[in-house]
Amino acid sequence: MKHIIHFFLITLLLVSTACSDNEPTGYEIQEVKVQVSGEITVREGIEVTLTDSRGSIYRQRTDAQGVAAFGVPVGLYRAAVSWVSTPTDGWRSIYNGSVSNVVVRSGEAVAIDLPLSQASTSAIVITELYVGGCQKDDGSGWFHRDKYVILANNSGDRVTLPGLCLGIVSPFNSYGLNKNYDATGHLNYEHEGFVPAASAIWYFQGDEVTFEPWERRVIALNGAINHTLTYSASVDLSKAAYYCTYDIERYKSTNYYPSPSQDISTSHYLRVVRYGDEVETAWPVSTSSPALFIFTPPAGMTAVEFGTDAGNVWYDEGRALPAFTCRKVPAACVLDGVEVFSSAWEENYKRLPSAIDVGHVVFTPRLGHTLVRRVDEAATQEQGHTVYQDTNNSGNDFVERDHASLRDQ
Amino acid sequence: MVNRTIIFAMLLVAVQTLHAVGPISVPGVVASSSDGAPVEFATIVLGNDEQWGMTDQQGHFVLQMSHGGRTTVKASCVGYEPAEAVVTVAPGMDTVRLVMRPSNLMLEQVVVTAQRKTEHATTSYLIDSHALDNQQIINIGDVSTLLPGGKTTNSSLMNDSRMALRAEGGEMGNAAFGTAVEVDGQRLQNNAEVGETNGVSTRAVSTTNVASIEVVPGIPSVEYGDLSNGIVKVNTKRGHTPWEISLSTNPHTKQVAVSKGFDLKQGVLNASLEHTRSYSSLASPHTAYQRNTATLNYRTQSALATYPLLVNVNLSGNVGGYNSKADPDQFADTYTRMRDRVLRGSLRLDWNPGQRWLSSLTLQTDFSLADKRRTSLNNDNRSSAQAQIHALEAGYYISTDYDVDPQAPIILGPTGYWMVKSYNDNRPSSTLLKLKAQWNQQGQAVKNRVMSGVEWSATGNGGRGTYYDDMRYAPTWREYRYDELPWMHNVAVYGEDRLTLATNELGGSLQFMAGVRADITHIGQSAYGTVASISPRFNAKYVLWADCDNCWLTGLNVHAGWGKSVKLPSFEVLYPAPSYADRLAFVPASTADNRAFYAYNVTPFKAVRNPNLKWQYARQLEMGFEATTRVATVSVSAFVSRTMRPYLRTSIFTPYTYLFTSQSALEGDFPIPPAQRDYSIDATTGLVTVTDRSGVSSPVTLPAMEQNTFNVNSTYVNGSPVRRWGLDWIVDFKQVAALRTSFRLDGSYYHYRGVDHTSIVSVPSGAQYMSDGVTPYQYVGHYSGTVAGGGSAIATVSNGSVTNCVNANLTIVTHIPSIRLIISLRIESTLLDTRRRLSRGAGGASRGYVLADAADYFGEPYTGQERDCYVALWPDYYTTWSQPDVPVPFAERFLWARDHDRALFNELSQLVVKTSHRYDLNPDRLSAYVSGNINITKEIGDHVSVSFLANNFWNSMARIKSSQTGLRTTIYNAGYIPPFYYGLSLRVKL
Repeated sequence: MKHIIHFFLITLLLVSTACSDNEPTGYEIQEVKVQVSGEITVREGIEVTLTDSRGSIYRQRTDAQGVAAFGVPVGLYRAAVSWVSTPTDGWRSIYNGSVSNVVVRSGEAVAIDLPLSQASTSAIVITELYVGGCQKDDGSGWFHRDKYVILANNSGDRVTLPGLCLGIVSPFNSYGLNKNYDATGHLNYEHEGFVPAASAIWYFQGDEVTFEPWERRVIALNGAINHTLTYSASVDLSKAAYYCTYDIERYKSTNYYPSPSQDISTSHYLRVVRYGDEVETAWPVSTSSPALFIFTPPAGMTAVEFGTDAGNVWYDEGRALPAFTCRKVPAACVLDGVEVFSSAWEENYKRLPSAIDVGHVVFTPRLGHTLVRRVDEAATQEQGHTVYQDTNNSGNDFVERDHASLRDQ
Repeated sequence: MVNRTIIFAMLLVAVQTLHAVGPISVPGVVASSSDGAPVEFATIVLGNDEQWGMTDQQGHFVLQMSHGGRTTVKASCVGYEPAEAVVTVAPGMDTVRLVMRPSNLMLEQVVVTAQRKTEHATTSYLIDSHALDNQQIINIGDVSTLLPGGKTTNSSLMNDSRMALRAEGGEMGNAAFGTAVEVDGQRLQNNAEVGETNGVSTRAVSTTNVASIEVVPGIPSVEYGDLSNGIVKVNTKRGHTPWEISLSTNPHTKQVAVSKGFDLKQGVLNASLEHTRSYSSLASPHTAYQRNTATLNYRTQSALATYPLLVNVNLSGNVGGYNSKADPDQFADTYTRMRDRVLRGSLRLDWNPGQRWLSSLTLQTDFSLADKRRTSLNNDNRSSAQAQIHALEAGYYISTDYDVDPQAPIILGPTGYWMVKSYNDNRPSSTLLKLKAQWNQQGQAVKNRVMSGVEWSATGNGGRGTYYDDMRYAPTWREYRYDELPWMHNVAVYGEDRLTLATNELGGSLQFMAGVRADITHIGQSAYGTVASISPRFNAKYVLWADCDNCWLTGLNVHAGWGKSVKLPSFEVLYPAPSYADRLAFVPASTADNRAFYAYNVTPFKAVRNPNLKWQYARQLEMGFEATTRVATVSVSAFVSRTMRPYLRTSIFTPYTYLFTSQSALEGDFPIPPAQRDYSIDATTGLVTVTDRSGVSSPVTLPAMEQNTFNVNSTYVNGSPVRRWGLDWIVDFKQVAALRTSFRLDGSYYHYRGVDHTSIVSVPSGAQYMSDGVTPYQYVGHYSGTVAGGGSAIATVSNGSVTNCVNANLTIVTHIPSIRLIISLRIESTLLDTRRRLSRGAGGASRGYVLADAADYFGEPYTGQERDCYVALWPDYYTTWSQPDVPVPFAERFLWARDHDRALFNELSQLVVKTSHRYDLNPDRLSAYVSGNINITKEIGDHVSVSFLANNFWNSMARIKSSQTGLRTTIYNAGYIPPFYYGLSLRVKL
């Protein structure tokens, strides 16, 4: 009897093993060829990345024909290039490009064209974005009306601009379905030369805005007060040198916009042009994944003229409602932008065109974390002053830190 | 028309009086078929509600009839199937003997669906306890599932949905508000709810103690008023019954109930207790709604002046509601608790002299007291002090520390962490007194019943409204005491005549019913004062033949009716809560401890009385037929309903100027240092003065700027009529004896069309500032048409909608009496579901412009034939802040501004509203979809019964296509069909 049982068990084992050999592994490698094209003259040696929906990154360099060949599992990918040329006569160029929603299916080789465009970098850059809030002291959740952004003059020159505005792109969060993509995986405004500024724009007062060499400006985006009195993990935004987005006659919620500290001059208040929905109580900066940018008004226009121009309308998702109203900011007017993806979601969608920001930085909100721009070590040593890295690629340029820089001060 | 009706009724009475005969006693006895024992306390009805009485302990009854002739004697008692006999009433007649069969699954015929009531001249459906048990109804409001074409819902008390007969949600005309619900003849009222204009909530009504439910979507008797969309009548269990224990469970609800009918010698006392608990989250069942009901009913019969007097006393109550206090997922001690307590009582006396001068007299009085108090304990925290505005009067106010003046119109709130406890005390009450008399006459081939009554009802609310236990933490809120609102009194007088003529020997007859009801409503302290309304109603039924046993078509009748029903307004309409505009008037900078003494300009509003407002009413027309063949019974009912003058809230814009003082006034070389400043504001002028606490500097009055804006008030107007029509049908096939299986096809076709042309004023939500980006918007648009929705009417491209739906159900019931088992399979299908938003001008004129691109403002007129396009609506004209009475034609000015004035063009373009998507005005036809339910009931002996149900038992994940978007979507968890659900119930009789 024992022999029979042993025989049966061995047979069963063999059969099951044989069955396993015949089953698919579920891990199939498929070829993907990416052809870089566009304004770039160099073709060989450019690094191309493929990023899957889980954030795994595959890297390959292009051959002499400008083709990067990958072997990747089936899935949904985003192909991107952010390439900085070798300095020539002290100048260097940045070439960016990306294609989203690259579907790699079983048994189908994929070939895609990735046009690159030359990007420009600006002296005025975003050096920190603190939007995620922090934990409350009583354990009842998180507090997020302490957002701020820091702008800096990344040069030793005095920079004067004919106005400076803050804008955000919708959808306000990077996750969820983004209906602004076309069938080829491109943002439908990417090649139209503008960035849609949603809901409202904030602008510095005055006809011109001047940044002194290496000047930093902290802009409180909700409450320019000392939040640490109630939330010990928060930040103090009440200092005299700080700026704030505050226009209480237009955004009337004192809860979102408490009166700024008596130490801050009203000349440091940024004013707003609202064109979105009246019911919005505040400028809807995402706490998890904003796409924020700074820009100058188009030549010959003030920020108010630009923001109230009914002929300059674009609707997010194609929905012709006030809440989806955007103004078209010419890409050439954009000085800097940062694209943030939420760490809580597997699928995030870019909103800033590649010419402005080809990458993204992943962020975890609610824990007091912040996003800071990396320092360009070589340039810093050369200039003798902190110089921030600016490759128009948030993925390269920004890093997530576990606490706001203002808490260091 | 009304006068003619009354004259006609009087003539009929006069004619019938000629044929009247003296009083005749109708003796009878009722016994059980099982053991021959007398059935005590059974209800006896003679004819069509002509005379009624009750059996005594020996099962005997004696009724008085004022006339002789053939009539029907019906007996009903809980635990037994109804029994009836046709008798000839004559002096000295023999004792009528009725035998009642115990109600169980051993009967040959058991019905688990809604049955058409044939004796009435209007459409009504009866749902008995077998159907309710089989369906495991938890909420009375879910019985519409069992009506023709009804859709199953997964019953739960967490969902407080309200019934709307022959209507759907989201339509114009307040259909749910117009649907009346009665329990044992007592109307459940919702008029005294201050916060809503909606149908009555039924989740506090016990379902285990229900004997039957009658749903009358057709034209009811004039006895029923204050409705416009039919009535649902719930009848509880009555009679000497054993102990009955019921246990029920499904994934979201647990229920236990016990009931018993006690023999008290002189009468019978029915008592029941029920506990039902529903929760929405399986993972956290601690937040729940509970129903704990108790009902008592005592019935007895005695004599008054030697004539039978039936006394019926009801007392019922519920102690329950929603509570999240036990939920461990809530933060700290926070919770929300909503009481749903109610105490209802009624006394009804039915005196049946059966005399020529009076057949019967009914006196009924009832009351209802409800306690719907909501208590919340919430945590709050802030890093900045906020103004907590409690001012009730118009003026300028500045924030004040609570410790300085706890009664200040504006309290400067705290910073840090705290708890807020709030209450909403809501106690709607109602009472009623009703006297109704009836005269029955009968000749050789004619019967006449005249009914006349008078009724007084009153509704009010004894609640305190919203309040807080500690004003230090009370947020911005205004006290509004419900108990200071006067009660609404209504006096109704009605008369109705029902004439029945026998036409042939096969049971053929012709029945006319004509009645008129006059309601006089007194609304104290309301601008609406005292108003009156008249509701005439007519029904006719022609029974061609009823008992042709040798014919293939054994019975055929047709009916038709027309009626008008008036729905009284709710307290929300009569006494709209005041609203307040709080505008920041001064904003000093925050101090080092994050406090800023904000000042506000406060303007209170109360809805403006509209002297032209008329009461909403419905005109109904229906007709139908019922044919009984050897194969099946076919019942068809068609209706047309027009809701006239639906209540519509609209806005009124009035130019307004207030002062605003900017922080910049305190900058520069302001003489008083921040730490020494005291701020005050003149309540009338709004000028801010800064005082030096140290006394060093003189007070300084700050410069202020005028702000021009609009005050937005509301008023109620009558909107455009809403039209509905439809068809209900039931085909009940005879049971296939070999299979013991019967088939039923039922369904409904429903059409709705509502297009509004009311002239409204509105400022679209995107219109906020003039072209300088700073000045508040100065224009108001005047548009034609709007759509129904919460709040005031706003400008929308769509000004109506049209719906066409066909639902068809197949029910297969297998009933095996020998093993006491009944299995029903119900396939529910939606064969047609077409909806479309409309944009139509009055008289079918074009309304709106077709845009080539969403960003455009100009295009060709929209005709309704276009597809996949954005459509823009322009106002007819606009007015300005400075000239509010001067209408400016919009189109002309807008076109001019496009070419000549860019700033004006930018401003006027904000008055243009557009459709959200290209497909918004496309017709939306959904492809057909189905789901299926199984219900099984098994009796185990005479004492135990078990029911099981599985809704959407194959858990359909089918996909449907929308013609509006061209997309295919799944119906799984999308609201089209119920999610897969199951339930089990056990009933034990001892």
